[in-house]
Amino acid sequence: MRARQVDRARVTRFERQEPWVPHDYGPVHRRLWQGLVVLTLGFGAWYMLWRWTVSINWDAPWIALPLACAETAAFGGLILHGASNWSDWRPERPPLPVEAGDIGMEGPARPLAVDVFFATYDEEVEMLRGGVRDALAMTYPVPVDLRIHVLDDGRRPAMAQMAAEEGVDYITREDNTGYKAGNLRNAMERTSGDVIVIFDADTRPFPDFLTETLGYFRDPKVAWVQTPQWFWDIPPGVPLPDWLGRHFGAVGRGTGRAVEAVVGPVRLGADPFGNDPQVFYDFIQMRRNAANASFCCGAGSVHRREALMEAAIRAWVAELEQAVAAQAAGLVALGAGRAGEMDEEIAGTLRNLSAQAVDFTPFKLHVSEDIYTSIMLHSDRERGWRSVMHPKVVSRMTSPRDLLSWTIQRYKYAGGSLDILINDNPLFRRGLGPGQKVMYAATFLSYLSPVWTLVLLLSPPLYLMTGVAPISAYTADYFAHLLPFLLLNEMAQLVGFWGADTQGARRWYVAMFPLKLKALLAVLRGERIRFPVTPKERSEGAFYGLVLPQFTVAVATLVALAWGWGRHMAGIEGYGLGAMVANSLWSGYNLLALWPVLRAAVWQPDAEFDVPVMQEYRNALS
Amino acid sequence: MRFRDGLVVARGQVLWILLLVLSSVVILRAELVPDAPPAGATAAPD
Repeated sequence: MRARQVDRARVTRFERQEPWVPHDYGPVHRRLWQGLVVLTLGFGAWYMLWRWTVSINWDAPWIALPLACAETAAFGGLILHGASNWSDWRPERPPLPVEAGDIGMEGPARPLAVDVFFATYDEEVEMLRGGVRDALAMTYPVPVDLRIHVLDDGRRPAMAQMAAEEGVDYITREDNTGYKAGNLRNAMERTSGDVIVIFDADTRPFPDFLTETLGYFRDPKVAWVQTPQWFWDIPPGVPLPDWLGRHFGAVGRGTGRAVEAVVGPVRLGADPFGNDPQVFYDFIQMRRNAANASFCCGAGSVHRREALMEAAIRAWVAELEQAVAAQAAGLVALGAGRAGEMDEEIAGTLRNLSAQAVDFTPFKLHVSEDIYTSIMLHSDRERGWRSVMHPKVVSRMTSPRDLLSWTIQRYKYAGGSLDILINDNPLFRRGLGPGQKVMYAATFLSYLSPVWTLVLLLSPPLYLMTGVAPISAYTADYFAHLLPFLLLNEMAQLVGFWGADTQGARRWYVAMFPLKLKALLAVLRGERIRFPVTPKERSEGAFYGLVLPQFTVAVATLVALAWGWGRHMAGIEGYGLGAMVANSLWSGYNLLALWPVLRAAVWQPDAEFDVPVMQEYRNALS
Repeated sequence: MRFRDGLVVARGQVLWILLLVLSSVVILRAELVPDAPPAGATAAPD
């Protein structure tokens, strides 16, 4: 089976189209990472202490204090990052369950019943057909009651026909209440499998999907297993020898080969939207296993039905109580009695009315239903539900193909997460353990980062333009405190995420600041999380407007650098060499961070290298 | 993962680290930047 899977993955001649191999560090490597984390945070604390006690320029608090606060917040994020990535512990996977009783189901012996959901709204019928066929090809060593369902919120006859042709179930409904979460809820009401596999319309499971995941459910406390989402259509970019060959002929090609012989393969324009999810799944999510805090990401997850139903009951009861209390308070205000003395008959009527009004739903009807449901299950201390992040890639999906799709997707993630943080903060939620709270804090804090990212981006140009330094003196003392911290941090990231491109991930983290800021403002204003797009923007396919804030910051930084060095050369006070070196390095880092998103706005797939890969997915469907 | 493969993925980061080390050496050893001025040294000259 392994050979078959690898064959299936080798759909192109480009190495990036193979899934990553899960990282598996030895004990020495793990200790090295943990040691570097301790050293980084130690030197970081030393630097922060020095910053607050010695280096703040109190003559210009308007620029000095925001920067000190921003650095402190970023350092807080670093502490959470270190803590949440501390351990590589991963749960043992027991042998595969043979029958339903092996995962704790009561009753007579029978095969395990597995419902597979393909949620769709407007995706192409043939895309779904590919996924359905792959799901039908999933193997299991003993008989299993596999039931595949296409959940069509588009109510399309062609989709129903496809389902009939492939011999799978077709489920639809009269309206689209709750969008995807509502779609899944509707399907749950009409099915009865012991476990539920959730796929998106573009998910193509590998044959070993079930054999890789179902073993975990022998532990009766395992509520769900998430598998990595791997995008196999990521543009691979143009190899350096080919790019140079196009411009400089044989000499260029030879030079490119020589360079690659030294530094390894170079691909220009690869993964233009930073979609490669390896850092998130293979490191961040995997390391949440240690605190039982890996969260569900939707597609590619397997759920114990019983856990979802119990979570739904608890959420329903809690919401019902809230609704009854609110209505009772309203009646008391209208003079219907005193608080706590509500007539039993009236209270009963209120409960009945509220029960009809409150939704009973296994998936919270929320823009980020996956993480919301995860938090609900993790905080059920009575049942002690566990989640598992599985290391190996066992399915493939497609990625956002332009900056607009990418922006809409990330805006939804940011808005949904911030909505949970602000309106139902998991840090104050009863039931979550300290480790789980640290993990969720690390996730949610990252969505608040634009507040301090903006300050960190604007500080260098502000100094360079005005000559007013936020730091009292860019002296050797300053560099002696800062550089060990920066160096150790880079070393720690290098060692702790060896094999993954964390630098790319961090750049996108910085470059996303306008999008996260917009989401934060929308949530604070109580607005609906949606990203308005005009038909003109979509049809033109050019998305310069989406990167206008990043472009403005980049231009301001370049202008300020020229201005600042000019003032320095002219010997003007306030533009000392130490300050210029520090702010130039800092500006360079900021420009490097902004570069990928600016490039993404004008990116076009290369006809020779990108287009075939991007189209291969569609060709493989037929 | 082979060491070389990991190094290829991390080469940008390695370059950045080398740049930081080089900057540190230049800044701290080549006396481009003076040490912190003694207390009171920032007062206006007579």
